[in-house]
Parts: sequence; C-alpha cells; structure tokens
Amino acid sequence: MTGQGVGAKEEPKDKWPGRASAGPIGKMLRTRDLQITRGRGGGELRDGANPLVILHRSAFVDGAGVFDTTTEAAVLRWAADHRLGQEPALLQMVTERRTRAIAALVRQGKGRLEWRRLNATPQWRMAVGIGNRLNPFEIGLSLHGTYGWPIIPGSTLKGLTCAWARECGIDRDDPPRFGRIFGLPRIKIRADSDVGAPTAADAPAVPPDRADGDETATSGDVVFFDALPVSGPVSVARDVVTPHQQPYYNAPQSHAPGEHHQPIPSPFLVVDGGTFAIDLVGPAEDVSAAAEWCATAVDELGVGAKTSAGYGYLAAREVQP
Amino acid sequence: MTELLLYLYAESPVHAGAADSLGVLDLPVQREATTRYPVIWGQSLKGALRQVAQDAGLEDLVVPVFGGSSEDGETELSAGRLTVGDAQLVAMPVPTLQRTFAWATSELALFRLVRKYARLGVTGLPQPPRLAPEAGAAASEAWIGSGRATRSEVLGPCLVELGIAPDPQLRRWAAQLATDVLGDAGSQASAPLAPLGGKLRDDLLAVGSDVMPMLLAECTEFVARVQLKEGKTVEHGPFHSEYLPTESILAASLTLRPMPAEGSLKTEDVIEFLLDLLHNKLIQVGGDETIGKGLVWARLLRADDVRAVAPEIADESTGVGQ
Repeated sequence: MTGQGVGAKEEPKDKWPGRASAGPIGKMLRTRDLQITRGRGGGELRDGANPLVILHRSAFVDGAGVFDTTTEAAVLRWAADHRLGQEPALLQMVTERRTRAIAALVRQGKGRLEWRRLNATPQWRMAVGIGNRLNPFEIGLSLHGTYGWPIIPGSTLKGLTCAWARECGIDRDDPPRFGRIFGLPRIKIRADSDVGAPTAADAPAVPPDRADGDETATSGDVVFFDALPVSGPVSVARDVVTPHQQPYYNAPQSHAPGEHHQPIPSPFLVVDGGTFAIDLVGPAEDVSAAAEWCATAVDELGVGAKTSAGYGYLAAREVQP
Repeated sequence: MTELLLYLYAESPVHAGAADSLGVLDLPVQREATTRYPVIWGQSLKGALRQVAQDAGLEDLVVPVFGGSSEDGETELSAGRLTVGDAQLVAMPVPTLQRTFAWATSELALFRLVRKYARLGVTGLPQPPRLAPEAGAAASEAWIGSGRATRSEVLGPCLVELGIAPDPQLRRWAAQLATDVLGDAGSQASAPLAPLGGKLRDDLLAVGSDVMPMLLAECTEFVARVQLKEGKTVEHGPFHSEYLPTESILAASLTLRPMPAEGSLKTEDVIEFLLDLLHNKLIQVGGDETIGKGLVWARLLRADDVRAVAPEIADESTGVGQ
C-alpha cells in the first residue's frame, strides 16, 4: 500500500497539479498539466487570450492559497506556444490601421512632415522591458497596453537613438540640431546634473531666442512611435538565466560566494523572431537623420537588456511605408 | 446655436494629464472627481482643437472660434464662439481571455451619451441596459455561454457574468457606435476606422456599477520610465505615467454660437471648416507626443449626420441569434 502511494506520487500527473488563479478569476483561469485552461475541464487557452490577464493578473495558488511557483512553467509555455496571444487577423488590422494613421498624420502636416519606416528583425533574441516585473512570475517584457503583445516602446527607441547620436558626437558638433531632434530638458535639470564638463559643452544647445530664464525646455520634432509586430506575429521563446551563487548576490555582506550554493534557474521571456515596424515622423531633414541613427543604433548598440550577452541586436532596413 | 458631437477614438495611448500625483503614480490621467471615470477636460480638449486650427494655418478662424488670447498683443481678448465640453468616456478596452480585448461600457456612460445625442435632437436611441451592480451583458453570441448555462468572463481583474443571451439594447448600441464612431456603414465605409466595425459590433460589453470603476482604475496603461545619465545610471526616475489605452472611445458635446451677422465668416462656413479640420482626422491630445502618444481619430457629427441606427438591423440579427 505504502509503496503504491509513493509510486502514484511520482507519476508526472502529480508533478503539475491543477491550480486555480487567486481571486474571482480563478473560476475561469486554471492550470492543468503545464497548460492554462479556461475553467476546470475547459479547453486550453490559445491565441486571443490577453497576456495582460495571464501574466499580470493571475497568480496560481494551491488549496491553501499559497502561490505555486511551478505554475510559471505553464505560463511560459503558453507564452511561447501561442506567441503571447497574438491574433494574426487582429494584428493585420492593427498594422493596417497604424499605416493609415501615420499616412493621415503626414498628409495633415501639409508637407512639413515626413515618415520613415524601418523594419527591424532580431538577429538572435531580444529582451525589452525586462525590469518591468509587475507580476507574480516576475517576468518582465514590454507589452502593448491594450493587446498585450510584445512591442518596443517609442521611449526606448528614442532613448536609444539619442544615445547613438551622442556616441557619434552630434551633441557636441551640432548642438542646435541635437536639441531640435530630441528636445531639450529644463535648465533646472542641467544644473542638478553632476556631469560637469559635458553640461558646459551643451550650453550652446539653447537656441538664442529661448535662452532666457527657465524657458529652455522644448519638445523634440521627431516622433518615435511604439514599434509593433508587422507581417505576422513575432515569435516568443523561453530563456533562462541561472545565478550560481544566489545567496551571495542577495546578501553579499553575510554570504561569501561558494561552490556549495545551488544554481537557481530563473526563466524569462524573449522575442526571437519576426519583424517590428519602427515608425518615425518629423521634418524631412531631421527624420532622415533620426532614421539613419536609429537603424544603426539597433544594430550597433542593441535594444533592451543583456546586450553584452548578444541580446537585442536588430537588423533594420528602411522600407517604403 | 449649432450643436455638434465630437467622438474621439484613441489610436495610441493618451496621456491627458492631471496635475496632482496619487500615491506611486506620478503622472495620472485626468479623472472625474465624483465617478473616477477618465475624462479629457474641456479646457485640454479646446487647446488641442485650437492647435489643430493653428497648425492648419486657419488664422482667420482661430480668434473668432476659439477666442483671442492675451499673449497676442494685436487682438483683443474675446470669448470664442465654440463651446467645448469635457470628452467623457464612452467605452474602454479591457483585456480578456478570448478575442484579445472587449470594450467595456456602463449604464452611466451610455446615459450621458443619450443626453449628448438629445442635444443634437436625435431621439429613438435604445435605453442603456439596466444591470445589477455586479452583472454584465454582451452585444453578441461570442460572449455568451451555450444553452442555459450563464457564462462568466474574465475582464481584466474581474469575473463578470454576461447572461444567457446577447442584450438586444446593447446590440443596438454596438451598431450605433460602429456607425457613428467608426463610420463603418453605408457611404462612409471608407472611414479610416471602418475595418474595426465588425469587432465593435461583436465585442461591446456593458458592466454594472460595481465592476466599471474597478475596470477603469485597473485597465489603464501604466508605464514606468527613467531618464539616464551619460554613464547609463539613472538620473531621474523611475517615474510612473498612466495612459488611457489605445482603442478607448470618448465623446464631447460642442456648441457653436452663431457668428456675428456683420462679419465675413458665416456660421455654415465655420462648420464646414471645422468638419474639414476634424472629421475623420487624426489629432494630438495630451502629452508625450514625441514618443507617439496622444493620437486620436476625431469624428465631428452634425445633427443631420446621425440618426438612431435602424432597429430592424438589430432585430434581424437578434432573430438569427435565437
């Protein structure tokens, strides 16, 4: 009897017991055998399930209400198998709408604005927004605020392009142009900065007509849109980082790094294929420069986290929108 | 007096920011004090509309319609002839476990919309569905369980029962909004948002007065950002901003007082100009423009442009459902 009981426990069925999500949504959102299902005995969730629910709203708990960390495997598997729920038909509609919207924006600009589109494909893997771990699984990835699909935020692309322009020395060689494209922060911020010499060098970036008082803040004239997947869903993969001396990293004062520490595998999600459309809109001369910098920056600097481990390098080419 | 109805449809997340920060949220969106519904205040919207007119180079229009500004030394301070109301929320997208997202609306939001239509003189609109505080209703079979078993659906953080059959009134509202907000019917089918009509007709949900505030608080977009120094260490931040998500629908009442008889601009001309400027056009509302936020599609409707969507369409499709 005892032997049989132990044997039953070792069966894979018990390794992944069914768990319900905490709170009211647990009636509809469960895990079973490494799958996420709709209710008890319901079908597996597929495309069209929104990661903003599955990643950000669910915490699968056991009967005692304790968070079961092994359910993370089911979430990761769903994310990879169903590409974070991207629905091809809706994605197609969203892509076409984005194209129409920017075309309309350019048309309404009456010749003042031009549009550059870069199609960017990960050369290997990409991890953007990995610090945004606002969920029980602590899986960080930049997700669209409505559809929950992977995106590269416009703020990321703008910051990256700005960093590359700095690397090229544009901020020193042609400060007015740099300020025009990326905008200027308030002078107050500059005064707070502890970077001494570059601040002084930046001073001419203030346009002469705005050099009075604190009125130096201007917005940039190039718009960096959030980059969405185009021509079909982007693929999502499970990845893992395994710190070998976690006690040491958690509390360096009380633990020395040692061979006796357990390696702790910590899975996360990356985008490893597909194409993102990077859209830039602005005055002709500035947007051309920005697009060129952006295309180089995603290839040379890389986007998102872990670029020193080869993540985040994109092959970008300009396409006719 | 000419009454107009302005629909706004978020193409990208919208940050019409309030001044005060609330807790960890540094940059919240504007909300109504009593209901906590997100809103774009009339003054913010009017500024955005004025900017559209200025960008289009219609200086002749700006001062009489939007008022003379004190910064401009040449013109006298004067009130504009256009009254711009708050853009109130009609429906907000919420994440779901099927069909990616659905639009959530409420009795309160739809009643406000009925009143906006009434200002235009449009009657015959369906009653907003009356729901128990914790209940919900759906516009189509896609959200309804099979047989007699009532279906519960996950909407963001909530589990809401959506009944055993589509709500016929909500189905008519979905058709009304698809026609007026997206322009997917008849001769307007070339409108930029028309392809979304099918989804809106199916995926409009109404929720009760307990559920809606929770959805509106929890389902806005919440973004943390930092500003880096040259050495890639954090200079400022993280600061947290809130956005009204892409696909949100808002509506505002606009009123144009008659233009003075002696002026060169006639009221009809002004309306034509406004339609040219706004109808089916993309406008910029709120902050973070240079990272692609705040783009909304506008649709400006006159009393003649709208009517209650023919009930027979709704009845017919309800019949198919049963």
